[in-house]
Amino acid sequence: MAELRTVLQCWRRRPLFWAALALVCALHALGAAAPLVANDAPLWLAAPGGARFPALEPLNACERFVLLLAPWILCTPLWAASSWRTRIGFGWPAFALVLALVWQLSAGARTFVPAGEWKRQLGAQSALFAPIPFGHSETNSSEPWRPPTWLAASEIDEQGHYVERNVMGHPGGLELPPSPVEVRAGEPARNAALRHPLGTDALGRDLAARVVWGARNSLAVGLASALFALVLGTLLGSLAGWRGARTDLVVSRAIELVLCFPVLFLVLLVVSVGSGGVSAVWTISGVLGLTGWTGVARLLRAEFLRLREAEFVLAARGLGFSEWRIVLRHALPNALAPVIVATSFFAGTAMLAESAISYLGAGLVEPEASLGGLVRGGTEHAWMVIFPGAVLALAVIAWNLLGEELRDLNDPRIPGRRA
Amino acid sequence: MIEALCELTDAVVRHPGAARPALEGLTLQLFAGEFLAVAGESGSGKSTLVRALARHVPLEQGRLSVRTERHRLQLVFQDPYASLDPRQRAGAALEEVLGVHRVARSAAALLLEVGLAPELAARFPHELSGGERQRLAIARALAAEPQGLLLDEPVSALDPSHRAQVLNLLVELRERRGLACLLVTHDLALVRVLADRLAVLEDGRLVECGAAQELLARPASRATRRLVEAAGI
Amino acid sequence: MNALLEVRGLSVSHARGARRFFAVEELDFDLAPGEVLAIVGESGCGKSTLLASIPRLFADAQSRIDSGSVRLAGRELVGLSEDELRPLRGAAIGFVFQDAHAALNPVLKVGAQVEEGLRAGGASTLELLAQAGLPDPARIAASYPHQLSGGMRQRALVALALAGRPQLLLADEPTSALDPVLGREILELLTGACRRQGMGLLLVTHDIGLALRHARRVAVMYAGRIVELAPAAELGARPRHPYTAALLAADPARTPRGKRFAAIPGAAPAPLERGAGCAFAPRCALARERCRIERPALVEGSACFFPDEVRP
Repeated sequence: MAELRTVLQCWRRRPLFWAALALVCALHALGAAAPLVANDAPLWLAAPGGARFPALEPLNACERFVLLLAPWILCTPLWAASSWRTRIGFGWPAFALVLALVWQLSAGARTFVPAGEWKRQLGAQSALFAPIPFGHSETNSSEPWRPPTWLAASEIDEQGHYVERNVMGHPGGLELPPSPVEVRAGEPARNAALRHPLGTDALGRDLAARVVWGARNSLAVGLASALFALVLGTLLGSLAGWRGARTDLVVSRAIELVLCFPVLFLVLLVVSVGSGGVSAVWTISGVLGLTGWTGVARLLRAEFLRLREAEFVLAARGLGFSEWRIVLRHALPNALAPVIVATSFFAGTAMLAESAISYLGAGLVEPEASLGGLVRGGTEHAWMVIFPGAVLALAVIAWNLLGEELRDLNDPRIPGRRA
Repeated sequence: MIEALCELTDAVVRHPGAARPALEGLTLQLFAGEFLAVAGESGSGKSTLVRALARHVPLEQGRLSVRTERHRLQLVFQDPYASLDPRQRAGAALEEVLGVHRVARSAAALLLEVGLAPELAARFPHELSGGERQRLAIARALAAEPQGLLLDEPVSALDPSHRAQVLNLLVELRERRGLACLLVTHDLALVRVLADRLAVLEDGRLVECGAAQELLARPASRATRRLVEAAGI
Repeated sequence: MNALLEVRGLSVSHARGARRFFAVEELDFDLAPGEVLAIVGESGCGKSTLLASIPRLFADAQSRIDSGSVRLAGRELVGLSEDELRPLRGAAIGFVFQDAHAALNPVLKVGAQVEEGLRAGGASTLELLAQAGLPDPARIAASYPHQLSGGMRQRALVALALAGRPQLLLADEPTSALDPVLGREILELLTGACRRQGMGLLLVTHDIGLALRHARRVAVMYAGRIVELAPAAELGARPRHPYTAALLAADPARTPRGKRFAAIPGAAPAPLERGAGCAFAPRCALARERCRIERPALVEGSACFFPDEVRP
């Protein structure tokens, strides 16, 4: 109870910061839990040999672990506002998450199950489907370009024709589907308001499912590239700032060299060369991280140049502390504040970069979903642009807001600052 | 002949890019158990001298010999806020030093020794008053079990009431632990009360050095005379 | 002669988060032209706030003057708008800051900064710099602040403050960061300028010895109020408030060799903890029951119920 009171006090003091953090965490939790939110396979199936969980079967161990982390990510604003002990107690999954991301790189291919397979094979068994009972690559040739089903204009009669004409800017009426709408096992009825709440694309794939999986991929790229940039930038920037002289010379020239590379062309190059068995998400994150570490490095270099002469560092040296201890335990914690802010902004920027690349057709390609790639899919249809765009905007706003609040949190001139 | 705890011989120190050296031909000894005051106007090189003794600045010429390990000669800085890690709590700072040097004392005992309540161990430096911060800096220096303390104007940034507490603490530590103290100051009133010997610097050179009472009563150099007048003693 | 500065019942409050507290409460004092009044106190007593409240140069936008009046040469300053007050700063009220390094603009040459504050018909930039005791004023005027030593910067700051030929000079611990020799020279500069030009000088310091040496009258502040106000000679010889006596006793110049320094036990109360009764009572050796319940008013220069019992 006392813990809860501490948490509420913490939130009330800086509400905007916690709101931004909650938004970022909610989006990432949604992405992490995508297999449970939008899936064509049932979550639970009563089979003759006992219960089965078809939605989880194709996932490899690493993806299952990420799934488990989803509720923990969702609760981050809760435990981050609590006492130190609670934070340490709940903090270990952070390391686990990083390990999982690294593990994913080495994970094998997933077992391939054709989309819609489970729905076709479902007999009279009882099954529980995901809230969005469509897969992200599950096509349905009987309902291409269908507007969101909660709109009256989306109503389709039994012969497979749209009931209304002259709708949504299409004076001659929408394209007629070639056959009656196929409603498969586990799906809502043909004209149910929530059948396709965000509409469908050219191949009849549900947009809501693709937005959820697209968010998963885009958010992963944002987070992963930010982490790559953070680690690389911290290593090089602190080396340059602490050692000075020749190391600084080398690293600074390396920074300038990297800044000369045009990111877009580099990504195109890497994607066209092919990524071997590694998912495109990681190659794109890798490229964005390898070109984006310069900002973090410069910040850390400046901080370390300043801290090198700081009196408490001199005092630590006089007390006989080893150089490693001084750098890791005294200098680095005092230098990280601007770096964390920059990383937060970078995550948003990386998401936008990836979306731009995918929109141009070079990044995450079909059937993988990406928020930018979804917009590419159909610029003539309003719902194809509005919904993925809104989710992308929300994610970027969340990262930027978090970055701003982190900056205010560390600014000594603004009241409410914690040292 | 008593051996000095640390000794500078003909030291020359030049700051990078400076035309004139900060210290020139400086020879000074600090003996065990004594209270040596180093006085001078701003720019006379007092802070540079103390940092040279603590090996924080390199000598361009001359020699520094310290009869004991480096961490046994501890430097207490003028601004306690800058010399403490702002992200480290008081108790943690003390425990870190005790751990590194494997000293069998507790942080609480050190806090009591410098006159601070053990409850302050949980506070961050910015949550302490100026006098408390300086005493914490001294406690941290004591945690390394020093034989000598070098203090660079330790009380000039403090209020009068805190000043007295810190200065009295120095006297007590000297009596209790037999520490040698080198106090850099521009306030000769302090020197009159506390010091055994006095060294006066002017423009990086040592102009006078001897028994404190002697020098204050009969200042031979112009620099000492100016300081005595300004101190109003 | 009419007083240059009249302060009556001045109360100034700051905000910290949602709470508001008084930094300075019910201050009353006068300053005559050509007089030097020193305000002595420790950190947190409100002396810097007092100084900042006269030209309304608050660092925090949330600070405000809650009540009272401040009259400069008969003109009321408290109710003035920002547009009315701005021309007075520099021209009528000069300010000397403690930290010369921070108070000078690092990207402007010293001469340019002094020129900005010059008033027509007064001394020129070079004359002001020379009066401030700077050798080779032409070279100093062409230098940037970081090229000068600490002492030269402080002298330049004095020249800057005097550039507008102000009637009132406010000095906030102008010599705390300097050694005593230089500090004495700067103070003599300031007091000399006061005498010559008939300026009033409000000198804030935490060093009571310095105040006694350079000021005609001394006001001692504690916890936001004036606890003693007397001519320097009297205050030094016969203090009439226990806090003044304690400050005098703690002065190293008055401590005999080999003795302990006289520390003042306890600590000043934080602004939000000041209760009823005398703020110094918890640390006072003379405190009685009455002191804890009733707050003594400033009567005949002393805010103590038992001024005659105070021993220096």
